[in-house]
Amino acid sequence: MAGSGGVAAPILVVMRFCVSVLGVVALTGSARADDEVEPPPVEIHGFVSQGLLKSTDNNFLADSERGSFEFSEFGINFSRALTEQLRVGMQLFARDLGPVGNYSAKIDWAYLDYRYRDWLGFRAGRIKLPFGLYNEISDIDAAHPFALLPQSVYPTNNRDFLLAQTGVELYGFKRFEESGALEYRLYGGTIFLDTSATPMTGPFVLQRLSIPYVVGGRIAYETPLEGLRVAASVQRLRLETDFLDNRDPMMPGKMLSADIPATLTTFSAEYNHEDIWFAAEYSRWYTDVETDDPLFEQPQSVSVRGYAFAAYRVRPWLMPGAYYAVMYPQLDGRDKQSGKQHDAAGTVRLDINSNWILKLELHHMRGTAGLSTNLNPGETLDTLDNRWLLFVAKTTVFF
Amino acid sequence: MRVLVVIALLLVQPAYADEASFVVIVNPKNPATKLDKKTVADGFLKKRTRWGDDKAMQPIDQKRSASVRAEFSKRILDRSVASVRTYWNQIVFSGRGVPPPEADSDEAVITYVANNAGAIGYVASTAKLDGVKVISVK
Repeated sequence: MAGSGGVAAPILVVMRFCVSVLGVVALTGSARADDEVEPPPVEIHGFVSQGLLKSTDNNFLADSERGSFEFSEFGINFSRALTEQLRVGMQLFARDLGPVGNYSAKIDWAYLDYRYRDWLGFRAGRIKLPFGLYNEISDIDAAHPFALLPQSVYPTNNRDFLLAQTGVELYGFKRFEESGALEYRLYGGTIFLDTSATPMTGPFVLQRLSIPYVVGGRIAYETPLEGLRVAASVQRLRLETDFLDNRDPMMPGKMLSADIPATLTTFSAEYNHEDIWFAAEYSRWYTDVETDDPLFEQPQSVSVRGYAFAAYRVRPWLMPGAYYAVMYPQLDGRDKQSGKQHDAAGTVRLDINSNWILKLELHHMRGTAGLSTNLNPGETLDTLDNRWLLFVAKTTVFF
Repeated sequence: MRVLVVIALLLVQPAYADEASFVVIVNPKNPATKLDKKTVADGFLKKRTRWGDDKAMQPIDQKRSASVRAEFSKRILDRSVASVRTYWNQIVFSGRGVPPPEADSDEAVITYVANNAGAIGYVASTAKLDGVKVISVK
């Protein structure tokens, strides 16, 4: 099931399109003298990433125990200012991450943006979700120090669910002289999902997954202390699902339905001044399950997630960093190893030149809540190794 | 061992050995005579896009390797050039905007500011300033 937000087209078609656009841009670009500056009619930026995942035990995101290069991302975006206040843009994105992605190109974001004043702007289209401090840039290597942002708050394998919505957004920025500044964003729309990209096996096979609405907002306050900002985010959405119950191999599958309203909240603090970068976020996700089938009935569950990170740019080309992240998918079940994920990570970001970076990262994991039984067949989350190491290397070229 | 010594030397050398002082310039038609540091910083980070008279603000940056840019970034934006680039990567790849255009020289910045009523730029204080107005930044 391909949603309209996901273009199920081979990457070759996308690359042809990009080459065509680049050709048009080359033709429309005006010549300039050396001492003249002419902003390009169309801004073009892009990135290509290739990573390696290697774990001592357990498969994480891909066949990492063996070592996997199925960790690639490509993106190219185009934007153009039509007037002083009106801008249009789009980004094409393709990835391969273990069993998901498979280089199927999608429209990552595409919007028109009307900035009436600095304190009020409007966007419509497919827009990245401003949830927490870094949701919009969680897969943009050039935009943060880590190869994997804390997975407790920014789970990479939930990218299709949490990254962008199709709808509208109001945004603004207002500075209050010496008292700091407010940045605010309100949005509403829907999330189109391509479930064909999410393989699911086992006794329950996903037949339909849709998100009819998502609404939310984020407010961030830049404090008078230079570099310090605090933020709060809230997001309300509803997942509607149909499953095929294949538990009894002797009987034809039975269709089950479950709707999951969810409220996600995150409180954030960041200090980013000169070359120091600290951030901490605390997130609570509330979910209910509405179904007629007693199998899925359960009380409201609360998932708690958080992390704190620090990074320091020692030199323009060298930025070490570290974080500690924790995730309890269900607050009530955190005693079991499957009910928690502790992640202590250390990373080094090397800016080889202004367009090429390399990140080397080591994670010490405790708990298995972030793992998938699809990638670890024959095991349950409680029988997998509780303590394991993950090494991530990732290199990105961007412009 | 030799590799470690080289790395140590790279780490202890000053970040920007050739620092230059700078002046902030605007078009002579711009009625502003002084600006606070936050207004300039917000303009260059495109958080602010308009002047007090509602005209569009058009910041013009210097090339990344320019020593004057390193000093401007440190003193006005309170971040290193690399850190500002990370900021722009966040904006560009999430679809929220594009950075200011970059000029190759002081002369190119002066030409741009002289030709655009809403422009704001910065150049080395030793640059020859024709057709632009220096503005004080507090």
